[in-house]
Amino acid sequence: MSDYQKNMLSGAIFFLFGIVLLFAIPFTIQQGNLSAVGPRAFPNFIGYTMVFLSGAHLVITFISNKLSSKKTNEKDDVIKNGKECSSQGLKDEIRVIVLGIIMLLYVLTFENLGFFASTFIASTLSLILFKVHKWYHYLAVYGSITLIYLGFTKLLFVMLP
Amino acid sequence: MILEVLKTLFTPMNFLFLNVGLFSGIIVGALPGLTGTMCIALLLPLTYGMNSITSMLLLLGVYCGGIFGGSITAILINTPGTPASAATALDGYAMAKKGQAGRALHTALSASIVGGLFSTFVLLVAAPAIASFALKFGPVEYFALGVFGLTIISSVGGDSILKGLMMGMAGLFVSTIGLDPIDGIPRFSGNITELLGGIKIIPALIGLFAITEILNKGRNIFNTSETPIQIEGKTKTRFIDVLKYKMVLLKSSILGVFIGAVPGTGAAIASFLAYNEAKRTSKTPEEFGRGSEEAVVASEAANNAVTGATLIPLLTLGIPGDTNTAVLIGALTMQGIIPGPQLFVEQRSWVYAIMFGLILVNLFMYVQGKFLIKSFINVTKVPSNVMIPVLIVLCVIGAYAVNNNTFDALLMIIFGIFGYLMLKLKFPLTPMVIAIVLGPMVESNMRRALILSKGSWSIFVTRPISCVFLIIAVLMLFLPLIKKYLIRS
Repeated sequence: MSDYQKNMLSGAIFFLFGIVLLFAIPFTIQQGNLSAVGPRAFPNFIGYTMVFLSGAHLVITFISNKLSSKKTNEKDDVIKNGKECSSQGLKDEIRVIVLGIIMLLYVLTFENLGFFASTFIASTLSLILFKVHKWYHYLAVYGSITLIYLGFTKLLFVMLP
Repeated sequence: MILEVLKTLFTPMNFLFLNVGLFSGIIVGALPGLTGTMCIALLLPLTYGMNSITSMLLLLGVYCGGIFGGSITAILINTPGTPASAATALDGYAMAKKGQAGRALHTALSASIVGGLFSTFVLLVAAPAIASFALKFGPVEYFALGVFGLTIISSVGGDSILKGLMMGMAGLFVSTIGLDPIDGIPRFSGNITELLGGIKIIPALIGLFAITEILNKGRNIFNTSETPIQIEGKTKTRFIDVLKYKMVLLKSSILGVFIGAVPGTGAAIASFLAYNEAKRTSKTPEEFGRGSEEAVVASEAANNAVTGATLIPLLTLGIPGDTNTAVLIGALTMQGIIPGPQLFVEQRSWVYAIMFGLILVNLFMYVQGKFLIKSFINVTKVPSNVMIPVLIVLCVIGAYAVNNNTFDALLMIIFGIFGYLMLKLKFPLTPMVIAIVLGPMVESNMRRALILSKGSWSIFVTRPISCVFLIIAVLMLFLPLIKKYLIRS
């Protein structure tokens, strides 16, 4: 994704978020009676400012892209480089998505499976994802996890499931 | 009072955890892609069962150690462990290639200590004076101060002021979730009971700093394959050797302190400015970039001089100067300590214990750096793919232990994924974190001020201190335009 696309996408997301926020405020926040400025004032300020800032961001991005679109040679180079990198980039992003899913599953099973079972499963999956082949690396991770557990529960008295 | 401070400070537990913090900070700082901020966030759960002084010393150890640690890989593999060490890499790596790796590391260490101690002394002198002035502040001034802090961080931090401000707004939105501070009416909490108390700062901090960095590291895990240059033989550099650059040390430390005291600037800017200033005034500017010891001294003294200075706005005004101090505020909140001028009245000995503690942190950093430098280098050889699972466990425990529920851990992951996406879109995370910290203060003081003025907004511009803060905030917003105009003209 080029910088222009990134800026347009992010601007659109923030703009939409600001609009949704402004629409949601009257339905989700009751009007208070205790103070001159009620509980809706600050969220309203955030909503309007976000719409204004993201709108400005979109306009500036659009105009600066128009102005620089004459430099077509530079653009072509970017596209060529982008194609070369896209396959590796996609693999890297898939790895991040899988890592994110592992973390989510870890947190969701943390209480149900208990600390040790959920942690060993999540750690093993992460090590496999990162192509760790040496057995002693697995042992080092499991050993560290056990030490962390003992440190938190026995020394710092943090209750873990 | 001094005796009381020393009695509180000199305990075996304080010494132990201060050194644990330094050791961890140096190692994490030395690992490219992992920052000291992440390490502070990771070690937060360790502080839950500690007293506030021990926990602050641990985290200050991580903070200072993290900045020095960044220079180890900057010198040995030309990859700065933290942005603060980028300037050090320019000449430190060149020195290492000439076979002077050990000399470069010890020079960096000694210069770091000088910068760190200098800034601590400035903190000791300046903080009480600023705090006594800030005692006059009411809700109007605090609101203006909060707006000033948010604006300056958004405008100075990243490459686009609009992106910084948008992230600031996102952070303010997060801070509004839960019961509102004056009327007690729920906002954006849906029917989720856990959200009524608001979003806890610790899961948000761990998510935005640690999880984001873990995801980023996971992405680039197969793309880094640098081998450190070895330190050969015994290095005979002494502390006194860097003192021959006394003017460079002094100027760089002053620059570091000045920049560190301004919210939103940070150690990276300080080290580059000091580097340029040293080059400008050097007798041998042609050596810069080719392995100049003077250059290493300049950048290291400046980046460590930032550490004490960032504590000035934190302790006296309750404003975090950078991401590290934003995490420190989280730790203080967990301990029930509210930073601000009242701290200097109600908990005077606590504040002085922290400030004197920073001197100890710097002294122990020298000891650790002097004797354990080879161990640090060995630890940094542990592959990242083995380290990441352990870091994930620490993050989850950290978020879980806040309230002993998985909801906070889930929030942490959501913040982490959001932070990663924002980084991909080139949005800075610092303004969001600072806004989450400052949001409640800004809103409650704004509403209290408006109650005092019976709804009149003019109160914010008719009070002189508030007016000055707001004028500076507006000027900071237009700073990029002013810069462009000046460059053109």
